[in-house]
Amino acid sequence: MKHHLLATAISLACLVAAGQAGARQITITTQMGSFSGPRAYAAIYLTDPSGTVVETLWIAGGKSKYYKHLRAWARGSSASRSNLHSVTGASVGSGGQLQVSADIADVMIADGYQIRVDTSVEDRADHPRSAILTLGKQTSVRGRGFVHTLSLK
Amino acid sequence: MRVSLRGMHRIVGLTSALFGITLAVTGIVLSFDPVTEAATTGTLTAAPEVTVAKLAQAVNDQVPGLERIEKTANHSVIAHYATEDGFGQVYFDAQTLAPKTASPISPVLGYIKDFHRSLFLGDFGRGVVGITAFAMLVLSVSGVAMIISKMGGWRALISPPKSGRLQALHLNAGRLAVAGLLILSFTGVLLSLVTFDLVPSPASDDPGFPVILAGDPPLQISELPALKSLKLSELRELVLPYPGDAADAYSLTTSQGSGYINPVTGQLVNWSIHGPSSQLYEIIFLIHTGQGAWPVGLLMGLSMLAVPFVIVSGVAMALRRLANPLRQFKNTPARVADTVVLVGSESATTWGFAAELARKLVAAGHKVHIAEMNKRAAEYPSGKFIFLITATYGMGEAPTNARHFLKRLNTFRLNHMRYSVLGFGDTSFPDFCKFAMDVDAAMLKTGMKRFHPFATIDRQSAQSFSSWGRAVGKSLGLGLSLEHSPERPKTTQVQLVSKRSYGQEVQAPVAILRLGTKSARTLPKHSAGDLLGVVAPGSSFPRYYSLASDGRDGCIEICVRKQPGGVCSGFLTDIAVGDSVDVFVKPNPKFRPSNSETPLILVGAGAGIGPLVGFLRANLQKRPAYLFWGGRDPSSDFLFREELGDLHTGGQITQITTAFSRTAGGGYVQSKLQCASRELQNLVQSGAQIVVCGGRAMGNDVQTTFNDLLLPIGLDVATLKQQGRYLEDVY
Repeated sequence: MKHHLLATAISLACLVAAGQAGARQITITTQMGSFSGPRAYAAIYLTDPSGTVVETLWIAGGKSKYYKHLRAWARGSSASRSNLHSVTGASVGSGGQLQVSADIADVMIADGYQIRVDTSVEDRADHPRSAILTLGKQTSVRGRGFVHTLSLK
Repeated sequence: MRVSLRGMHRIVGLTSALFGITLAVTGIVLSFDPVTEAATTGTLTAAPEVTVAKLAQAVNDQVPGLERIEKTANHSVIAHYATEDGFGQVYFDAQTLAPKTASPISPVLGYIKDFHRSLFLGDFGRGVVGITAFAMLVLSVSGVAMIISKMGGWRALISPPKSGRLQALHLNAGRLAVAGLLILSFTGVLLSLVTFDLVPSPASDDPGFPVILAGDPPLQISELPALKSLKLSELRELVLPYPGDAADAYSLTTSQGSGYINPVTGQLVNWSIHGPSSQLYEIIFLIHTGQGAWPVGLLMGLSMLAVPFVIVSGVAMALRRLANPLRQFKNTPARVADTVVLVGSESATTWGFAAELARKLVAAGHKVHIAEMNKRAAEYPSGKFIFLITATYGMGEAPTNARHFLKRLNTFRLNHMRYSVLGFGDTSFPDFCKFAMDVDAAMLKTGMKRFHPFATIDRQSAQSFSSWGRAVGKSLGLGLSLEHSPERPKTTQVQLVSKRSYGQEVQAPVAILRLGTKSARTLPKHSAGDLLGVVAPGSSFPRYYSLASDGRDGCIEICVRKQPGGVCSGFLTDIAVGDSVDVFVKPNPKFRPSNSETPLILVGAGAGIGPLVGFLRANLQKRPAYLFWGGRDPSSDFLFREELGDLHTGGQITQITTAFSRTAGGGYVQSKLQCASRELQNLVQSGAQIVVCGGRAMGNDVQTTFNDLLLPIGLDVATLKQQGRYLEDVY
């Protein structure tokens, strides 16, 4: 069964960071691969070129106590996790799709900021950095673990 | 309203029974998981000896895209990997450091575990499971409390009980299960509370990610000092740094604590030791699952084997109690009761009458103690009146729960009590209320005085019970208005499908009736030999007929002899095809041939042929069957003549012997039995079973005949009855 899920998050922080300069709205599509077991948790987030979490774009999965299994994101986002409820939605099933819209400053795109996805399925496996997409250079990458592809428009 | 411990135990038990059994059965299956896993990892007796450094290096060399190494409590080593080509798990052998071809953990067990934890219903299921665990805890605690308070002291927990069969099963199985159930339900409740964050989750002591300064190149895994000194048995999980990320570190969880390893220096950084709460959680988890301690798992599973028995017997007891007429009655202890009601009957109807009497006496201010006649106390120190309410079984015999009453009567201390006997019976039977009369006479002989004359109630008549109540009330000086009408069983409406009449010419009208419903599904389930209760219009009580049919025949078949003045037999023999009748089936399991290969001797007269034909139809295994049947005239009342011929041809009857009383040189079926004495002796000696059906007089004569002909081989009917080899249905 295919799960389609449309999630929209307008990233205010990115706009602020962009200052007076231009910003672009992009749509990030995370296509999940097929897997068995319960539905997957996923974190879609923006990092600087060295991998430091800059912004949490979307969290799929409602129970915060499982967020530690989205390892790379959980590790880097402790400072910016206070206000997640506006970017949190349902967990995603095998073959499902997550779409997130975000306004990203042109500077970030020029500097090679990255969109990253961590995934986890309870009692099965955690796959931090299931996909890493470098802005400005790539529009689609193949993922690992539970992510099939990560693409943007 | 105050709910007693017992009432609470019953309500909690009834509501949680289904889920309780589910959890017990799945739990039993899961209890084998640790031991099978430990067996496949070769760690039944000793933990693996290899260091984590050596193992992790070997795994890393063999698994591309390795992300994480997990070591389960039973020492399975699982390598988790993910590449662009796929992801998954590889099991490793800790001794050979080579991948295993097969997963040692069964996927079926995974499903059962999910079911045990959430019933496949997510958080809702988890909630149900948690509440069920709490119910099991409440049941265990209240069960133990009841045993101790009821039976006096802790010794009661280990000594055998003395009461009824269901209760004995409940108590015995409960004793076996209770220790394990207390432990498992308590730990289960705690695990559930953790799941729902109702107690603080213990695994929150996150040490924080260290800052790794990329400088020198990272060490090989096998060279990391922190892993070189760590035994595999202590490992929980090792997460590798992301390839190419110089700022990433190993993260390590062991049985002692968790933290990180600097990939450059190989030293532990930001290490935090598991706090007491997480140690406690682990102990609870270990006890509940047996993971990492397979003998604990097996022991818990073993004690759960008794749980389904506890639950089923408990539910059966609770349901039986619902049918008990004394459910609402608060019994006064024998010591302080001024009025004693002793009941000799196992039928709910007689108890219903007795309960009504007891209730109304209590309402009139008496302190009433009610008990079975067998359970008569040695004396009733405060007793003034004693009621004896009893039915009569068989040929004037005592009902089972009054069997010891008469022979123990000489031990009864009278204390100036006065008595009254009320007999329940059916005037159409000989020996009407004979046992009640015997009791009355025996009581009188002890020197006790009556406070009210002996009385009887015919066929559960509500009217005569009520008028007896008024009379008793006068004797006691109070107004006693007894209202109790026996509940009629749930009836099914059936229609007459066919009627074949016989015996008009010989003044013994008898009919074979077939009754049916429009759909075979709505036909009451029955077997040949069971009793069909028929409630004739205008009649307040049912009449019973032996069934010739089996539920699978698709209809109900009975033989009805028209009794002179008989309300029900008259009604049945008069109705026309298509007319409706209200019926119900009363099982008669004692009147059914055994399931063996030994010969069958069937003896009947008149309409008594009905169930015998049914038994012969069912004789598909063709055990030798000898039918002796008596009628009046073959030209008039030879019931089932053609069908008996067919059954004989088909081999379901070995031999048919008939006797006709109205023909020249004819006689009764008993004389045919006498003629066949030698043959019958041989059959009985080879283990034959005798089945008799017919009128009471014929039944008595047949018994006498068999006693005579069995004498030479040292047997009698009483012995055969004891062995279940002489079955009777006489009316």
